[in-house]
Amino acid sequence: MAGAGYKTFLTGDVFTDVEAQTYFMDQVVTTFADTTARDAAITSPTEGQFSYSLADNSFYVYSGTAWIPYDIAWIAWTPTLTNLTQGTGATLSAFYSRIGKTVVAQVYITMGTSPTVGGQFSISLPVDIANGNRSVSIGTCVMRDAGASLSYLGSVTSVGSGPSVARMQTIGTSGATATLSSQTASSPFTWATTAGSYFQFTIMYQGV
Amino acid sequence: MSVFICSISDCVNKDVVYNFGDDSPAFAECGGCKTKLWPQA
Repeated sequence: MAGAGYKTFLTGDVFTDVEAQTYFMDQVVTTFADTTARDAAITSPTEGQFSYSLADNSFYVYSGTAWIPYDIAWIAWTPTLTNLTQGTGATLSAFYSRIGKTVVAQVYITMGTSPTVGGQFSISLPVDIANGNRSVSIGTCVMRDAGASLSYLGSVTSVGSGPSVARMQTIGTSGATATLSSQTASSPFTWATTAGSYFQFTIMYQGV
Repeated sequence: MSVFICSISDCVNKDVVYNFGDDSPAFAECGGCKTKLWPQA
């Protein structure tokens, strides 16, 4: 049974069996079909109050100003890809989890037959990054050239907000110093040449 | 194999095919409009 919401009992109130279940029992961690139902039932949440959403399998704790999610499972999502159409037969794997304001995501994207590659890829993030006005290094990536059987190591940077996106950089050298430069349609290899090439990354950042 | 396609008319991901291969998640969140997507039959 889902909770009825939140009730403050006053002296002299009659405490019924239904109230015992829907307020006293379910009030410990109120469970709702989704966050919309929660917001309708709990119009004035108190700081520290917990709830659970069945729709996204997430606990939420009220910080005093907002419900902050704590996912109990990784969530699949379909990122918006810019400068890349994967091509026929390609696959994608994208999952993320929120632990309060911390967002962790894993992405694995393959090239199919005849992909369309326009330049540096943008992969929209599942949750916008906090302070999206500046770019932040949020992880490392591996870019695999299936034709040459070579894997290239790179860096992942967040860019912008609404939505925030991830972009990749390749590692080069300047003398004895490692450098970064933007991934392109032909760097670190020509992406459209061989089906089965892929890139993957794991990132962690502060969400909004 | 599990394929997800958003059909919301004004979504930036409308009609884009996302093939999750062998991962087969029970559902996916659209990265464009946040709609809950179910795998295509």
